[in-house]
Amino acid sequence: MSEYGNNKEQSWLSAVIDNELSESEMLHVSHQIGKDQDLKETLVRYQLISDSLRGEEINLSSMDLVSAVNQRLASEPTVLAPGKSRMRMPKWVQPVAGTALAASVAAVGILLGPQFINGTQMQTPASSGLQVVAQPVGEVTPAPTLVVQKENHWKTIEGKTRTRLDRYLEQHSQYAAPGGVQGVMPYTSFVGYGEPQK
Amino acid sequence: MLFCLSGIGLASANNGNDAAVQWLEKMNLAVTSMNYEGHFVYQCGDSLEAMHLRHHIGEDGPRESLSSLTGVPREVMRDSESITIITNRNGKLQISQQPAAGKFSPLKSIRPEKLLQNYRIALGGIMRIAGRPGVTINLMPNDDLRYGYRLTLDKMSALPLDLMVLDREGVIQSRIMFTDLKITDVDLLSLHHPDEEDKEAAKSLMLAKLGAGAGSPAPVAKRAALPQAKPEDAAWKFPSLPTGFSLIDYQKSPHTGLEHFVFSDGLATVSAYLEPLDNDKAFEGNTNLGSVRVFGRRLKNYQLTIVGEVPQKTLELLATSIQYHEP
Repeated sequence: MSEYGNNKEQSWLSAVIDNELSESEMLHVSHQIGKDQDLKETLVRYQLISDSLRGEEINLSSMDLVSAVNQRLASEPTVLAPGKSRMRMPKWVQPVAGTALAASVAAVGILLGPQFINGTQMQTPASSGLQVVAQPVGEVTPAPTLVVQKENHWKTIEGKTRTRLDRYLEQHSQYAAPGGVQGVMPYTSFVGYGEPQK
Repeated sequence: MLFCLSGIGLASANNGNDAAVQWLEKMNLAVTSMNYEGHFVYQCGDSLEAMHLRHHIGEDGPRESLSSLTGVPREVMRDSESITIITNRNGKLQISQQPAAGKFSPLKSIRPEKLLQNYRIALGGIMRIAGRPGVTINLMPNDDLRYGYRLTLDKMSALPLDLMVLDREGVIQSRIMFTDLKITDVDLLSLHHPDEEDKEAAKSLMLAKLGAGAGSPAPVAKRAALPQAKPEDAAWKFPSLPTGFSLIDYQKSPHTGLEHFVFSDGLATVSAYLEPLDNDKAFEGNTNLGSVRVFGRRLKNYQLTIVGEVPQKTLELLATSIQYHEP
């Protein structure tokens, strides 16, 4: 794609953000985007602005592209401003593009916080996989307490019957779920099954 | 189309039903044809589980992995050929595999005209789930023999973001709700690099975490699938089924004698199992796993067990309707 991109493709991006494409158009555009890094980055910029203007959280899954966006912003501060290019801009971009873009990038920094900006994350008990029970202030207990996890299991039963019901549940997931709405996630109840407390 | 929408069926539906059914059709297509990955929570009774789902369309067709992130590590991987179940309980790795019997299509047997006999279908409002706008579809039952469903589908892709199973009082029986969803080939909200992820999509997350290489770290127990059989050949019959339900599948094991009947009303499915008891003690009564309910009773020298995400009344109606006919 050229620096300002193909107008038609950028119009698609705008329509994507405005949710104006049909399903088939969306599929086509997605394939185009999958092949074109510039288009991806442009879409990220559009999406950041859109989220910012709507007061929504910035999509953190796009953050791996933020540095690239920042670099582009440094060299092209008015890249989204409607001017010589006749490309269609999303409805929400047109009046406030420059300000919004700056605001959205600032918002990214705020949302990410110092741990990401500094390139390291603080290691907390929660992030290390431990469940922490809150303790009252003033009664400090140094070590976090692991709580017993409540698991999902049959509300009964002696071992042999439980084994049989496990097998039935698995078979029900496989054979029966495609006939109904459980087929959306057919093995969920099976995977969610836990060993009963002993 | 996987979801057979006949012109006749659509003609009888009003505009609201029509739009809702079309969303279900989109969902059916999206679930089977897109590459996606996400985390969701599964609320079931008084327990809450977190899970990770990956769905990938490879050269050999769709491949899916569903793994638990809480409790006992467990993962189910399935493709068009096989279903592999990996469990790691107390450090003991168990892997079993059997041929795939079901298709990926979730709603293959649904016909709108049948659906509308048992449920009122309507579009709901717009919900925000997993940071994404979603369209809500309400499927409320016409009687007390089945639960209602509230589905929220991603507005952009039609993938399910939220699925609630509700009783007649509106109490949630179970719920699957995504907390994040990435659509790797069509996702225009959360961009990443599908080429890199495609290579990883065919691998087991659980085995990868255990540092397993190319070979299996535990013996794989191969199991045979239950063979299909003709319902008319079955000795057990269900002459008076609960309203709206019909028999859609039947298998019988030539080795163990286990029989499996599958009934559906278009959305809810119920399984009835009959198995010779030998000297085993019969399971009589009921139990449940969250909203999945079970009813058991002894019939002659057989164990009858009925399993389904339906009200207890429906299970008991099925259990009382069964009759034995000498072949």
